[in-house]
Amino acid sequence: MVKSIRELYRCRALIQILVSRDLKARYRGSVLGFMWSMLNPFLMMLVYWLVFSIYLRNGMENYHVYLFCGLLPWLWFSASLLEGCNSIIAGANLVKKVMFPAEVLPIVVILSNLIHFFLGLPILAAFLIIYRVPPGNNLLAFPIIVLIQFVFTFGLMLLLSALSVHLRDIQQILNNIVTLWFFMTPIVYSVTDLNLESKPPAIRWVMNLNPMKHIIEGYHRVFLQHMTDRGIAMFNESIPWTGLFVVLGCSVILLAVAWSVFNHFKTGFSEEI
Amino acid sequence: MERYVIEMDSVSKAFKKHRRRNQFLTLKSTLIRDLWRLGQPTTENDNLFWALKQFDLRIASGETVGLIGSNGSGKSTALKLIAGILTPTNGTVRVIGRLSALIELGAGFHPEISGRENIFINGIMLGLTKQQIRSKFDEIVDFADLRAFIDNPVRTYSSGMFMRLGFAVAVHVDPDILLIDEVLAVGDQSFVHKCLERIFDFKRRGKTIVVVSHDLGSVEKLCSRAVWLSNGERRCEGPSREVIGSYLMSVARQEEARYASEHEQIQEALEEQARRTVGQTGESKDGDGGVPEAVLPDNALDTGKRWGNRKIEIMQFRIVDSVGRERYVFQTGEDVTFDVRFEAKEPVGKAVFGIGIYLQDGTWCYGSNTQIDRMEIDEFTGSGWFRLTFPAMPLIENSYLIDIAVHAEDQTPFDFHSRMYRIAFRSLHRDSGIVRLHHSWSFSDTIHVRRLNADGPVQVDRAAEGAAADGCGT
Repeated sequence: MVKSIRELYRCRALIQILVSRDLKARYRGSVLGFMWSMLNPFLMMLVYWLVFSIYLRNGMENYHVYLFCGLLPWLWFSASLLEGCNSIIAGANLVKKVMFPAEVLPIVVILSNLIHFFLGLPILAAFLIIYRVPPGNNLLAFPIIVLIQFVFTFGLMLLLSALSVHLRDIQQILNNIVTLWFFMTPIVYSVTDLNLESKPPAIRWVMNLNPMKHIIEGYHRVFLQHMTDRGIAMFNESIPWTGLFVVLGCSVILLAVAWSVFNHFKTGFSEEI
Repeated sequence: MERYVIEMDSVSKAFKKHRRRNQFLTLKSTLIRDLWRLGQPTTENDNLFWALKQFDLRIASGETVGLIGSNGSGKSTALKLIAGILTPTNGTVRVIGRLSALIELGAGFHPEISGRENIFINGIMLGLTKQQIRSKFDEIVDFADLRAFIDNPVRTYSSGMFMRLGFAVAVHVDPDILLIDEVLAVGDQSFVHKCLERIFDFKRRGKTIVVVSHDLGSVEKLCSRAVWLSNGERRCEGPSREVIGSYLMSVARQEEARYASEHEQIQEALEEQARRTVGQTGESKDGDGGVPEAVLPDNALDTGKRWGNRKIEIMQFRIVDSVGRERYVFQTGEDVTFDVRFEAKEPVGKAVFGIGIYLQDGTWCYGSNTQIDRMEIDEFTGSGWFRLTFPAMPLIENSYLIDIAVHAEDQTPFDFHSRMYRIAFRSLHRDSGIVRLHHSWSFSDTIHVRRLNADGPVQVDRAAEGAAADGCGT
């Protein structure tokens, strides 16, 4: 894995230019251009807000801020996963014709989606200012959580992209899995809403198995530290480091396994696609 | 001691013949096992296609080598193995130096962004740094001749413009080793020449070049050495002129076999027809014996291709070369002889023999007969033959149809075989038209002319081609 990372580092110029190609090409021809990177998550937030706040009467104060805070990193995760799974197949003309480490393709996907994530942050900041949620010292943990999410997402992407070259069915089922995963993660609801005390402890245990739960909750603590719901500070706790570090540990193992699987399949890519 | 920059040691490459998708999904365990096995170099022999078998190739620094062979002979596979795009199933490939592969031009071009940005992407992909691209940018744009369109998205480019841009970037990478796979067929003539010039420039600067091409003329000009692959194995290797010569001869032999069997079928049908005609005329000896084609069921011969009253009948037609061998595929410039056997069943006055040569589309290339050539043939009976020889036949590479006819002086046809026979010509030259006219070029002293030939000036006369060294044990 270390060797692979070093190889990727050597290709950084290529990665950089492919990421900027992706970014430029995505909104080329549209009037609003880069604005869509901010508008898209905002519009999606409006959809969920409409459903959950107006129709289902979720009573949380500043619900849309909460929603947006979880949605942004989730979109990074889900878009990376869906695009990344397809990245080797979509990059067929490169893999077949040019010699370069194939890992470049998924890494380009995760990086360009990371940039979209960052482009959405100013909107979140605007929300926080408008609804007077002051920043707290948890904000400093932001890069670490991004890193954890990066490692976890990239490991998963490597695994899926390599396998889906041979088993294209993965791509089809992945859409549904990601949708289910979205609702299993506290983004449109918060864990406290679930009244877990009244439910069997097994449920809480299962929920904690979801790495994205820990990551998204981490973001909630980072940005909404001082947000109040009917006068009670909801996320005024320190970051749940224990959970996050367990996630990080598992992600590193996942990444190592995924990379060796990827390297195993790599030589066959140019013949299979 | 020579330094090899490319070394392939008994390299084999196998491809799976068909996908294994339907073998999946029986049991979870088989799924996992099969999936894992997929990534590994396959070794079991069923379902495998060996594109390359135990192939050795050593190329020294500064050499230009051409890989030739028919489709599916493994030459592109060999090139992709050198480029590192494919990994060998067995054996090793070693390459020393920076390598640029003109295998697919414009790899990584994104249709939505401008030509300018694509030059940067493509250049970095081929191993340049941003700084290097910036310094070569103008040169690249001028080479591709796309200055007016460089800021338009690539999707608005024509396929020719796309290829030009791709080629321009690729040749400005300035590699130590240049791999070229059949990319000389892009763009208009002027661009092709620009590309060739650039490639020759590489050659002059002592770069190593490996070419895969069906354009044997270019291979011969560019490469000092050629390797002929056949079914994934090296058939022959040596000076490109000799190897290409033997390759052409082998191709000609294959074609020959095809043409000969076709000719034989027509010949058999002719004989069959002749037998039946004899039977008929035997019964009604004094009958007028005309319109035999109306009576005869004719399978192999399209009746529209043959007419006449058969008072003189053409019994056999053959084409032979200068040493009397029956052949139907020739090199441009070889001696060609038409050999015709005929039979007159009764005296019918003076006869005229003639031939015609046509293109497939009906264009009449040449025609003549004994009358035109001011000959008079006295009345005769029984069998006879004539031979018509074309010394150094100048017809260019193409397939031609032949007319053979015998008729009376007043044009009444005795036996007319219209476009029943075929002859093909093969040539290294790429000239167009119908015949290769004898010609020579000269220029004023103010004009500097370079002959794009690997060894010496352009050889106009290819008469020696047929006799090219057959040292390859074909």
